[in-house]
Amino acid sequence: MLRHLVGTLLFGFLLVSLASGQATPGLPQGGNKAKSAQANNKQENLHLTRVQTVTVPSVLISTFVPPFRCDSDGNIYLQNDRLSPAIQKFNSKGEAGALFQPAPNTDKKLDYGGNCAIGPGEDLYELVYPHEMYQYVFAYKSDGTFKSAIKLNLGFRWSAHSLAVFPSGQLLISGFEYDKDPAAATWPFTGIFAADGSLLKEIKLEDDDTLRDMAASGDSRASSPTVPNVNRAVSFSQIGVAADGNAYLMRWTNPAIIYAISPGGEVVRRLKVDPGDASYGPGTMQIFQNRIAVLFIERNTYNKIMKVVDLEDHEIATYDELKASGKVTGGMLTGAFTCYTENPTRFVFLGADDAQKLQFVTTEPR
Amino acid sequence: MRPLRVILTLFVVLLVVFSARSAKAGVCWGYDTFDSEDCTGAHGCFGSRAPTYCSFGCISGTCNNQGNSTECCGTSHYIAQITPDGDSCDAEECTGGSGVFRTHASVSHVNSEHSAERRQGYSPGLIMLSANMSYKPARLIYVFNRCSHSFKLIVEDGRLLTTGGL
Repeated sequence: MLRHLVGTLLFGFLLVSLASGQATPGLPQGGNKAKSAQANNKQENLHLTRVQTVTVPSVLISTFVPPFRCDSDGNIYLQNDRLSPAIQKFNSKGEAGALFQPAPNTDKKLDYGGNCAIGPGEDLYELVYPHEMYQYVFAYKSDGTFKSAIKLNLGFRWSAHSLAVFPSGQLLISGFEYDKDPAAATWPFTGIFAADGSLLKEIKLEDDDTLRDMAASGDSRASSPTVPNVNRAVSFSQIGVAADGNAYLMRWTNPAIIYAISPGGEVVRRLKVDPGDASYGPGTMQIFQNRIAVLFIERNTYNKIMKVVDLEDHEIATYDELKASGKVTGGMLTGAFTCYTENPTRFVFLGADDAQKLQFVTTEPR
Repeated sequence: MRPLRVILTLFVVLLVVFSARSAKAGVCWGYDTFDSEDCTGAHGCFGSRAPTYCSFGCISGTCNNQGNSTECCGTSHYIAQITPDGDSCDAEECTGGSGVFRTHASVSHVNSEHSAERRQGYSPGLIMLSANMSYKPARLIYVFNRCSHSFKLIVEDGRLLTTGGL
Protein backbone atom coordinates (compact mmCIF):
# COMPACT_ATOMS: atom_id res chain seq x y z
CA MET A 1 0.00 0.00 0.00
CA LEU A 2 2.82 2.34 0.93
CA ARG A 3 4.58 1.53 -2.33
CA HIS A 4 1.37 2.32 -4.19
CA LEU A 5 1.05 5.65 -2.35
CA VAL A 6 4.66 6.66 -3.05
CA GLY A 7 4.28 5.63 -6.66
CA THR A 8 1.08 7.64 -6.97
CA LEU A 9 2.65 10.75 -5.48
CA LEU A 10 5.59 10.51 -7.85
CA PHE A 11 3.21 10.08 -10.76
CA GLY A 12 1.21 13.05 -9.47
CA PHE A 13 4.30 15.22 -9.34
CA LEU A 14 5.13 14.14 -12.87
CA LEU A 15 1.66 15.21 -13.97
CA VAL A 16 2.00 18.52 -12.17
CA SER A 17 5.37 19.13 -13.79
CA LEU A 18 3.94 18.44 -17.21
CA ALA A 19 0.89 20.59 -16.47
CA SER A 20 3.13 23.46 -15.37
CA GLY A 21 4.96 23.32 -18.64
CA GLN A 22 1.73 23.45 -20.60
CA ALA A 23 0.21 26.23 -18.53
CA THR A 24 3.01 28.64 -19.34
CA PRO A 25 3.65 28.25 -23.04
CA GLY A 26 6.99 29.59 -24.12
CA LEU A 27 8.38 29.79 -20.63
CA PRO A 28 11.38 29.55 -20.49
CA GLN A 29 12.35 28.18 -23.84
CA GLY A 30 16.03 28.82 -23.90
CA GLY A 31 16.16 29.68 -27.58
CA ASN A 32 17.41 27.49 -30.39
CA LYS A 33 20.89 27.12 -29.01
CA ALA A 34 19.69 26.76 -25.46
CA LYS A 35 17.15 24.19 -26.56
CA SER A 36 19.75 22.01 -28.18
CA ALA A 37 21.97 22.48 -25.15
CA GLN A 38 19.13 21.30 -22.97
CA ALA A 39 18.51 18.31 -25.19
CA ASN A 40 22.14 17.32 -25.14
CA ASN A 41 23.04 18.11 -21.58
CA LYS A 42 19.62 18.00 -19.91
CA GLN A 43 20.32 21.40 -18.37
CA GLU A 44 17.75 23.17 -16.28
CA ASN A 45 16.15 26.29 -17.74
CA LEU A 46 18.09 29.44 -17.06
CA HIS A 47 16.75 32.13 -14.77
CA LEU A 48 17.68 35.74 -14.15
CA THR A 49 19.51 35.45 -10.86
CA ARG A 50 20.70 38.39 -8.78
CA VAL A 51 24.46 38.47 -8.56
CA GLN A 52 24.99 42.00 -7.28
CA THR A 53 22.92 44.80 -5.74
CA VAL A 54 24.29 48.31 -5.44
CA THR A 55 22.31 50.69 -3.26
CA VAL A 56 22.34 54.42 -3.90
CA PRO A 57 21.35 55.89 -0.52
CA SER A 58 21.12 59.46 -1.78
CA VAL A 59 18.21 58.73 -4.14
CA LEU A 60 14.78 57.81 -2.79
CA ILE A 61 12.50 56.40 -5.44
CA SER A 62 9.19 54.54 -5.69
CA THR A 63 8.34 54.79 -9.37
CA PHE A 64 10.42 54.24 -12.48
CA VAL A 65 9.56 55.80 -15.79
CA PRO A 66 11.47 55.09 -19.03
CA PRO A 67 13.81 55.88 -20.68
CA PHE A 68 16.25 53.48 -19.06
CA ARG A 69 19.70 54.04 -20.49
CA CYS A 70 23.27 52.97 -19.87
CA ASP A 71 26.46 53.51 -21.83
CA SER A 72 29.29 51.22 -22.89
CA ASP A 73 31.14 51.84 -19.61
CA GLY A 74 28.14 50.64 -17.61
CA ASN A 75 27.15 54.12 -16.43
CA ILE A 76 23.43 54.42 -15.76
CA TYR A 77 21.37 57.49 -16.63
CA LEU A 78 18.40 58.35 -14.42
CA GLN A 79 15.69 60.78 -15.41
CA ASN A 80 12.85 60.48 -12.99
CA ASP A 81 11.11 63.82 -13.16
CA ARG A 82 9.86 64.87 -16.56
CA LEU A 83 8.79 68.27 -15.23
CA SER A 84 12.34 69.07 -14.17
CA PRO A 85 14.04 67.18 -16.96
CA ALA A 86 17.57 66.80 -15.63
CA ILE A 87 19.38 63.51 -16.12
CA GLN A 88 21.85 62.19 -13.56
CA LYS A 89 24.63 59.81 -14.50
CA PHE A 90 25.76 57.15 -12.01
CA ASN A 91 28.68 54.77 -12.34
CA SER A 92 28.16 51.09 -11.67
CA LYS A 93 29.13 51.61 -8.02
CA GLY A 94 26.19 53.98 -7.59
CA GLU A 95 28.33 57.10 -7.40
CA ALA A 96 26.73 60.18 -8.94
CA GLY A 97 28.56 61.64 -11.90
CA ALA A 98 27.66 64.19 -14.54
CA LEU A 99 24.36 66.05 -14.42
CA PHE A 100 22.69 66.94 -17.71
CA GLN A 101 20.38 69.92 -17.29
CA PRO A 102 18.52 71.67 -20.07
CA ALA A 103 17.08 74.51 -17.98
CA PRO A 104 20.32 76.40 -17.22
CA ASN A 105 21.25 76.22 -20.90
CA THR A 106 18.26 77.94 -22.42
CA ASP A 107 16.16 80.99 -21.78
CA LYS A 108 13.06 79.08 -22.87
CA LYS A 109 10.48 77.88 -20.39
CA LEU A 110 10.51 74.08 -20.47
CA ASP A 111 7.32 72.07 -20.36
CA TYR A 112 8.69 68.55 -20.51
CA GLY A 113 11.75 66.35 -20.86
CA GLY A 114 11.41 63.29 -23.06
CA ASN A 115 13.39 60.33 -24.28
CA CYS A 116 17.17 60.38 -24.25
CA ALA A 117 19.91 58.48 -26.07
CA ILE A 118 23.63 57.93 -25.83
CA GLY A 119 25.44 59.03 -28.96
CA PRO A 120 29.00 58.93 -30.30
CA GLY A 121 31.64 59.61 -27.66
CA GLU A 122 29.06 58.84 -24.93
CA ASP A 123 27.48 62.23 -25.55
CA LEU A 124 23.91 62.47 -24.31
CA TYR A 125 20.95 63.60 -26.40
CA GLU A 126 17.61 64.47 -24.84
CA LEU A 127 14.23 65.38 -26.30
CA VAL A 128 13.21 68.69 -24.75
CA TYR A 129 9.86 70.43 -25.12
CA PRO A 130 9.85 74.17 -24.46
CA HIS A 131 6.59 76.07 -24.37
CA GLU A 132 6.52 76.62 -28.09
CA MET A 133 5.46 74.69 -31.17
CA TYR A 134 8.94 73.39 -31.93
CA GLN A 135 10.57 70.48 -30.19
CA TYR A 136 14.28 70.21 -29.57
CA VAL A 137 17.06 67.74 -28.96
CA PHE A 138 19.55 69.03 -26.42
CA ALA A 139 23.04 67.60 -26.85
CA TYR A 140 25.58 67.36 -24.03
CA LYS A 141 29.12 66.11 -23.76
CA SER A 142 29.67 63.08 -21.56
CA ASP A 143 30.73 65.31 -18.65
CA GLY A 144 27.40 67.15 -18.71
CA THR A 145 28.66 70.19 -20.59
CA PHE A 146 25.97 71.59 -22.86
CA LYS A 147 26.78 71.31 -26.59
CA SER A 148 23.78 72.50 -28.57
CA ALA A 149 20.01 72.80 -28.84
CA ILE A 150 18.87 71.13 -32.06
CA LYS A 151 15.56 72.51 -33.28
CA LEU A 152 13.42 69.86 -35.00
CA ASN A 153 11.98 71.91 -37.77
CA LEU A 154 8.86 70.30 -39.17
CA GLY A 155 6.00 72.16 -40.75
CA PHE A 156 3.20 70.18 -39.21
CA ARG A 157 1.83 69.37 -35.79
CA TRP A 158 3.65 66.42 -34.31
CA SER A 159 5.33 65.15 -31.18
CA ALA A 160 8.59 63.26 -30.90
CA HIS A 161 8.69 60.27 -28.56
CA SER A 162 11.73 58.10 -29.11
CA LEU A 163 15.22 58.92 -30.18
CA ALA A 164 18.51 57.35 -31.25
CA VAL A 165 21.75 58.79 -32.56
CA PHE A 166 23.72 57.24 -35.42
CA PRO A 167 27.55 57.23 -35.28
CA SER A 168 27.42 60.01 -37.88
CA GLY A 169 25.48 62.24 -35.48
CA GLN A 170 22.26 61.98 -37.48
CA LEU A 171 19.14 61.37 -35.44
CA LEU A 172 16.39 58.80 -35.83
CA ILE A 173 13.19 59.99 -34.19
CA SER A 174 9.82 58.29 -33.92
CA GLY A 175 6.62 59.98 -32.87
CA PHE A 176 3.15 61.06 -33.97
CA GLU A 177 1.76 63.34 -36.58
CA TYR A 178 -1.60 64.72 -35.49
CA ASP A 179 -4.65 64.60 -37.68
CA LYS A 180 -6.53 67.79 -38.53
CA ASP A 181 -9.32 66.32 -36.47
CA PRO A 182 -8.03 66.21 -32.88
CA ALA A 183 -10.36 63.32 -32.13
CA ALA A 184 -8.97 61.18 -34.95
CA ALA A 185 -6.21 58.64 -34.50
CA THR A 186 -2.69 59.99 -34.80
CA TRP A 187 -0.32 59.00 -37.61
CA PRO A 188 2.97 57.27 -36.85
CA PHE A 189 5.92 59.40 -37.93
CA THR A 190 9.53 58.30 -38.26
CA GLY A 191 12.30 60.46 -39.64
CA ILE A 192 16.04 60.81 -40.06
CA PHE A 193 17.21 64.26 -39.00
CA ALA A 194 20.53 65.94 -39.71
CA ALA A 195 22.66 67.09 -36.80
CA ASP A 196 21.20 70.58 -37.33
CA GLY A 197 17.63 69.28 -36.91
CA SER A 198 16.51 69.44 -40.52
CA LEU A 199 14.49 66.47 -41.75
CA LEU A 200 16.54 64.41 -44.20
CA LYS A 201 14.08 61.63 -44.84
CA GLU A 202 10.69 60.51 -43.63
CA ILE A 203 10.45 56.73 -43.26
CA LYS A 204 7.31 54.78 -43.87
CA LEU A 205 7.39 51.59 -41.84
CA GLU A 206 5.60 48.43 -42.91
CA ASP A 207 3.18 48.31 -40.02
CA ASP A 208 2.43 52.04 -39.69
CA ASP A 209 -0.95 51.85 -41.39
CA THR A 210 -1.93 48.71 -39.51
CA LEU A 211 -1.02 50.24 -36.16
CA ARG A 212 -2.89 53.41 -37.03
CA ASP A 213 -5.96 51.42 -38.10
CA MET A 214 -5.80 49.40 -34.90
CA ALA A 215 -5.80 52.57 -32.81
CA ALA A 216 -8.57 54.10 -34.92
CA SER A 217 -10.75 51.04 -34.38
CA GLY A 218 -10.12 51.04 -30.64
CA ASP A 219 -8.10 47.84 -30.70
CA SER A 220 -6.81 47.50 -27.15
CA ARG A 221 -3.45 46.23 -28.41
CA ALA A 222 -2.72 49.69 -29.80
CA SER A 223 -4.94 52.16 -28.01
CA SER A 224 -6.82 52.90 -24.86
CA PRO A 225 -10.61 52.71 -24.88
CA THR A 226 -10.67 56.11 -23.22
CA VAL A 227 -8.11 57.75 -25.52
CA PRO A 228 -8.48 56.11 -28.93
CA ASN A 229 -6.54 58.79 -30.77
CA VAL A 230 -3.28 58.04 -28.97
CA ASN A 231 -1.37 55.00 -30.12
CA ARG A 232 0.35 53.02 -27.39
CA ALA A 233 2.30 50.90 -29.87
CA VAL A 234 3.95 54.08 -31.17
CA SER A 235 4.04 56.08 -27.92
CA PHE A 236 6.18 53.48 -26.21
CA SER A 237 8.47 52.75 -29.15
CA GLN A 238 12.14 52.40 -28.28
CA ILE A 239 15.24 52.77 -30.40
CA GLY A 240 18.84 51.68 -29.99
CA VAL A 241 21.87 51.55 -32.26
CA ALA A 242 23.71 48.25 -32.77
CA ALA A 243 27.27 47.41 -33.74
CA ASP A 244 26.30 47.19 -37.44
CA GLY A 245 25.61 50.95 -37.42
CA ASN A 246 21.88 50.50 -37.92
CA ALA A 247 19.21 51.75 -35.55
CA TYR A 248 16.69 49.25 -34.23
CA LEU A 249 13.23 50.67 -33.61
CA MET A 250 10.89 48.52 -31.53
CA ARG A 251 7.14 49.04 -31.57
CA TRP A 252 5.30 48.31 -28.33
CA THR A 253 3.55 45.22 -29.65
CA ASN A 254 3.39 41.51 -28.99
CA PRO A 255 5.26 40.05 -30.80
CA ALA A 256 7.59 43.03 -30.59
CA ILE A 257 8.15 44.35 -34.09
CA ILE A 258 11.66 45.73 -34.58
CA TYR A 259 12.84 47.55 -37.70
CA ALA A 260 16.52 47.75 -38.58
CA ILE A 261 16.98 51.19 -40.14
CA SER A 262 20.18 52.30 -41.84
CA PRO A 263 21.61 55.81 -41.39
CA GLY A 264 20.33 56.51 -44.90
CA GLY A 265 16.79 55.70 -43.84
CA GLU A 266 16.44 52.30 -45.48
CA VAL A 267 14.57 49.59 -43.59
CA VAL A 268 17.04 46.74 -43.98
CA ARG A 269 15.22 44.18 -41.84
CA ARG A 270 12.04 43.61 -39.92
CA LEU A 271 12.36 41.44 -36.81
CA LYS A 272 9.65 39.88 -34.69
CA VAL A 273 10.51 38.93 -31.15
CA ASP A 274 7.82 36.67 -29.79
CA PRO A 275 7.51 35.94 -26.06
CA GLY A 276 5.37 32.93 -26.92
CA ASP A 277 2.47 34.11 -24.78
CA ALA A 278 -0.13 36.67 -25.82
CA SER A 279 -0.64 37.90 -22.25
CA TYR A 280 2.83 39.44 -22.15
CA GLY A 281 3.65 42.93 -23.33
CA PRO A 282 7.04 44.36 -24.20
CA GLY A 283 8.74 46.30 -21.47
CA THR A 284 12.17 47.51 -22.43
CA MET A 285 14.63 46.79 -25.24
CA GLN A 286 18.38 47.08 -24.77
CA ILE A 287 21.08 46.46 -27.36
CA PHE A 288 24.63 45.26 -26.85
CA GLN A 289 26.79 45.14 -29.98
CA ASN A 290 25.03 42.54 -32.16
CA ARG A 291 22.51 41.32 -29.64
CA ILE A 292 19.05 42.64 -28.76
CA ALA A 293 17.43 41.85 -25.42
CA VAL A 294 13.71 42.48 -24.98
CA LEU A 295 12.04 42.20 -21.59
CA PHE A 296 8.39 41.12 -21.73
CA ILE A 297 6.06 41.53 -18.76
CA GLU A 298 2.80 39.76 -17.98
CA ARG A 299 0.29 42.41 -16.99
CA ASN A 300 -1.46 40.59 -14.17
CA THR A 301 1.22 38.47 -12.59
CA TYR A 302 4.21 40.71 -13.51
CA ASN A 303 6.05 37.60 -14.54
CA LYS A 304 8.89 38.43 -16.87
CA ILE A 305 10.53 36.85 -19.88
CA MET A 306 13.84 38.10 -21.27
CA LYS A 307 14.35 37.22 -24.92
CA VAL A 308 17.68 37.67 -26.63
CA VAL A 309 17.99 37.65 -30.41
CA ASP A 310 20.76 38.54 -32.82
CA LEU A 311 20.46 41.26 -35.44
CA GLU A 312 19.22 38.70 -38.00
CA ASP A 313 16.33 37.72 -35.72
CA HIS A 314 17.82 34.40 -34.68
CA GLU A 315 16.76 33.51 -31.18
CA ILE A 316 19.70 33.22 -28.82
CA ALA A 317 18.10 32.64 -25.45
CA THR A 318 15.03 33.05 -23.28
CA TYR A 319 15.22 33.59 -19.55
CA ASP A 320 12.70 34.06 -16.78
CA GLU A 321 12.87 35.00 -13.13
CA LEU A 322 14.17 32.62 -10.52
CA LYS A 323 11.20 31.03 -8.77
CA ALA A 324 10.37 28.47 -6.17
CA SER A 325 6.87 27.04 -5.85
CA GLY A 326 5.66 29.56 -8.41
CA LYS A 327 6.91 32.56 -6.46
CA VAL A 328 9.81 34.77 -7.35
CA THR A 329 12.71 34.23 -5.02
CA GLY A 330 15.46 36.64 -4.14
CA GLY A 331 13.31 39.71 -4.75
CA MET A 332 11.17 40.40 -7.78
CA LEU A 333 12.84 42.32 -10.57
CA THR A 334 11.32 45.59 -11.70
CA GLY A 335 10.45 46.30 -15.29
CA ALA A 336 13.15 48.96 -15.29
CA PHE A 337 15.57 46.97 -17.43
CA THR A 338 18.42 49.40 -17.93
CA CYS A 339 21.57 47.72 -19.15
CA TYR A 340 22.57 44.62 -21.11
CA THR A 341 26.08 43.29 -21.67
CA GLU A 342 27.65 40.04 -22.85
CA ASN A 343 30.76 38.11 -21.80
CA PRO A 344 29.43 37.47 -19.26
CA THR A 345 25.71 37.88 -20.00
CA ARG A 346 24.34 40.45 -17.58
CA PHE A 347 21.14 42.41 -17.26
CA VAL A 348 20.92 45.39 -14.91
CA PHE A 349 17.60 46.55 -13.49
CA LEU A 350 16.70 49.60 -11.45
CA GLY A 351 15.10 48.77 -8.15
CA ALA A 352 14.57 50.00 -4.62
CA ASP A 353 14.99 48.61 -1.15
CA ASP A 354 12.36 48.70 1.60
CA ALA A 355 13.41 52.23 2.46
CA GLN A 356 12.91 53.18 -1.19
CA LYS A 357 16.60 53.74 -1.77
CA LEU A 358 17.57 53.37 -5.40
CA GLN A 359 19.28 50.11 -6.32
CA PHE A 360 21.11 48.78 -9.36
CA VAL A 361 20.34 45.08 -9.49
CA THR A 362 22.65 43.00 -11.67
CA THR A 363 21.39 39.61 -12.80
CA GLU A 364 22.91 36.74 -14.71
CA PRO A 365 21.21 33.76 -16.30
CA ARG A 366 21.89 30.69 -14.18
CA MET B 1 -5.99 0.12 -10.11
CA ARG B 2 -9.13 1.70 -8.66
CA PRO B 3 -7.44 2.96 -5.44
CA LEU B 4 -4.74 4.48 -7.61
CA ARG B 5 -7.34 6.50 -9.53
CA VAL B 6 -9.04 7.61 -6.30
CA ILE B 7 -5.78 8.79 -4.77
CA LEU B 8 -4.73 10.51 -7.98
CA THR B 9 -8.10 12.24 -8.24
CA LEU B 10 -7.88 13.38 -4.60
CA PHE B 11 -4.38 14.63 -5.26
CA VAL B 12 -5.48 16.68 -8.26
CA VAL B 13 -8.51 18.05 -6.38
CA LEU B 14 -6.30 19.12 -3.48
CA LEU B 15 -3.94 20.77 -5.93
CA VAL B 16 -6.79 22.71 -7.55
CA VAL B 17 -8.13 23.85 -4.17
CA PHE B 18 -4.69 24.84 -2.99
CA SER B 19 -4.00 26.77 -6.20
CA ALA B 20 -7.34 28.59 -6.00
CA ARG B 21 -6.69 29.63 -2.41
CA SER B 22 -3.24 30.88 -3.28
CA ALA B 23 -4.58 32.97 -6.14
CA LYS B 24 -7.38 34.44 -4.06
CA ALA B 25 -5.08 35.39 -1.22
CA GLY B 26 -2.98 37.40 -3.65
CA VAL B 27 -5.77 39.74 -4.85
CA CYS B 28 -5.49 42.60 -2.44
CA TRP B 29 -5.89 46.08 -3.82
CA GLY B 30 -5.24 49.68 -2.93
CA TYR B 31 -5.23 52.97 -4.78
CA ASP B 32 -2.30 54.82 -6.27
CA THR B 33 -2.83 58.52 -6.71
CA PHE B 34 -0.36 60.41 -8.85
CA ASP B 35 0.44 64.09 -8.87
CA SER B 36 -2.56 66.04 -10.00
CA GLU B 37 -2.91 67.15 -13.59
CA ASP B 38 -4.31 70.38 -14.94
CA CYS B 39 -7.45 70.28 -17.00
CA THR B 40 -8.99 73.05 -19.02
CA GLY B 41 -12.29 73.62 -20.70
CA ALA B 42 -14.72 76.05 -22.17
CA HIS B 43 -15.13 79.58 -20.81
CA GLY B 44 -11.64 79.61 -19.37
CA CYS B 45 -12.25 76.73 -17.01
CA PHE B 46 -9.03 75.68 -15.32
CA GLY B 47 -8.92 72.89 -12.79
CA SER B 48 -6.92 69.92 -11.63
CA ARG B 49 -7.60 66.28 -11.02
CA ALA B 50 -5.63 63.43 -9.49
CA PRO B 51 -5.36 60.28 -11.65
CA THR B 52 -6.10 57.23 -9.53
CA TYR B 53 -5.15 53.68 -10.43
CA CYS B 54 -5.51 50.23 -8.97
CA SER B 55 -2.45 49.28 -7.02
CA PHE B 56 -1.32 46.85 -4.39
CA GLY B 57 -3.06 47.29 -1.06
CA CYS B 58 -5.02 45.75 1.72
CA ILE B 59 -8.56 45.39 0.38
CA SER B 60 -9.44 41.95 -0.91
CA GLY B 61 -11.64 41.93 -3.96
CA THR B 62 -11.50 43.21 -7.50
CA CYS B 63 -10.31 46.52 -8.84
CA ASN B 64 -11.23 48.22 -12.09
CA ASN B 65 -9.08 51.09 -13.32
CA GLN B 66 -12.19 52.50 -15.02
CA GLY B 67 -14.68 51.56 -12.33
CA ASN B 68 -15.48 55.11 -11.34
CA SER B 69 -15.19 58.54 -12.84
CA THR B 70 -14.64 62.12 -11.95
CA GLU B 71 -15.33 65.31 -13.85
CA CYS B 72 -13.02 68.23 -14.43
CA CYS B 73 -13.98 71.25 -16.54
CA GLY B 74 -16.88 69.33 -18.04
CA THR B 75 -14.84 66.31 -19.10
CA SER B 76 -15.21 62.92 -17.46
CA HIS B 77 -12.14 60.98 -16.44
CA TYR B 78 -12.03 57.39 -15.32
CA ILE B 79 -10.65 56.57 -11.89
CA ALA B 80 -10.12 53.26 -10.17
CA GLN B 81 -12.71 51.57 -8.01
CA ILE B 82 -12.22 48.63 -5.65
CA THR B 83 -15.08 46.23 -5.06
CA PRO B 84 -14.35 44.42 -1.78
CA ASP B 85 -15.25 40.76 -1.40
CA GLY B 86 -15.06 40.75 2.38
CA ASP B 87 -11.94 38.61 2.67
CA SER B 88 -8.94 39.81 4.60
CA CYS B 89 -5.43 40.44 3.38
CA ASP B 90 -2.86 38.73 5.50
CA ALA B 91 0.25 40.75 4.68
CA GLU B 92 1.88 42.20 7.79
CA GLU B 93 1.39 45.71 6.51
CA CYS B 94 -2.34 45.10 6.19
CA THR B 95 -3.13 43.76 9.62
CA GLY B 96 -3.05 46.96 11.62
CA GLY B 97 -3.82 49.72 9.15
CA SER B 98 -6.84 51.48 7.81
CA GLY B 99 -7.22 49.11 4.88
CA VAL B 100 -6.09 51.54 2.20
CA PHE B 101 -2.64 52.93 1.75
CA ARG B 102 -1.18 55.16 -0.88
CA THR B 103 2.31 54.71 -2.15
CA HIS B 104 2.57 57.90 -4.13
CA ALA B 105 0.42 60.63 -2.66
CA SER B 106 0.04 63.85 -4.59
CA VAL B 107 1.97 66.85 -3.35
CA SER B 108 -0.26 69.83 -3.04
CA HIS B 109 2.29 72.60 -2.99
CA VAL B 110 3.92 71.27 -6.15
CA ASN B 111 0.56 71.19 -7.88
CA SER B 112 -0.19 74.75 -6.86
CA GLU B 113 3.19 75.74 -8.18
CA HIS B 114 2.46 74.07 -11.52
CA SER B 115 -0.90 75.76 -11.79
CA ALA B 116 0.75 79.09 -11.17
CA GLU B 117 3.40 78.33 -13.78
CA ARG B 118 0.76 77.49 -16.32
CA ARG B 119 -0.97 80.77 -15.74
CA GLN B 120 2.34 82.50 -16.29
CA GLY B 121 2.53 81.14 -19.80
CA TYR B 122 3.72 77.57 -19.86
CA SER B 123 2.41 74.15 -19.05
CA PRO B 124 4.70 71.76 -17.18
CA GLY B 125 4.08 68.16 -18.16
CA LEU B 126 2.38 68.98 -21.44
CA ILE B 127 3.83 69.12 -24.94
CA MET B 128 2.63 72.22 -26.73
CA LEU B 129 1.27 71.49 -30.21
CA SER B 130 -0.36 74.82 -30.99
CA ALA B 131 -1.48 77.94 -29.19
CA ASN B 132 -4.56 76.17 -27.94
CA MET B 133 -3.66 72.50 -28.03
CA SER B 134 -1.29 70.44 -25.90
CA TYR B 135 -0.47 66.78 -25.50
CA LYS B 136 -0.09 64.95 -22.22
CA PRO B 137 2.41 62.20 -23.11
CA ALA B 138 1.71 58.55 -22.43
CA ARG B 139 3.89 56.94 -19.80
CA LEU B 140 4.85 53.49 -18.64
CA ILE B 141 5.24 53.60 -14.89
CA TYR B 142 6.77 50.89 -12.74
CA VAL B 143 5.47 51.36 -9.21
CA PHE B 144 7.25 49.99 -6.16
CA ASN B 145 5.02 48.13 -3.73
CA ARG B 146 6.31 48.11 -0.19
CA CYS B 147 3.71 45.57 0.84
CA SER B 148 4.81 42.74 -1.40
CA HIS B 149 8.30 44.01 -2.20
CA SER B 150 7.40 43.90 -5.83
CA PHE B 151 6.50 46.17 -8.70
CA LYS B 152 3.58 46.69 -11.00
CA LEU B 153 3.31 48.27 -14.41
CA ILE B 154 0.87 51.10 -15.01
CA VAL B 155 0.13 52.21 -18.54
CA GLU B 156 -0.82 55.86 -18.41
CA ASP B 157 -2.31 56.88 -21.71
CA GLY B 158 -1.52 60.18 -23.32
CA ARG B 159 -4.22 62.59 -24.40
CA LEU B 160 -4.81 65.81 -26.22
CA LEU B 161 -5.93 68.85 -24.30
CA THR B 162 -7.57 71.74 -26.10
CA THR B 163 -8.31 75.14 -24.68
CA GLY B 164 -10.59 76.40 -27.41
CA GLY B 165 -10.85 76.35 -31.19
CA LEU B 166 -7.94 75.16 -33.28
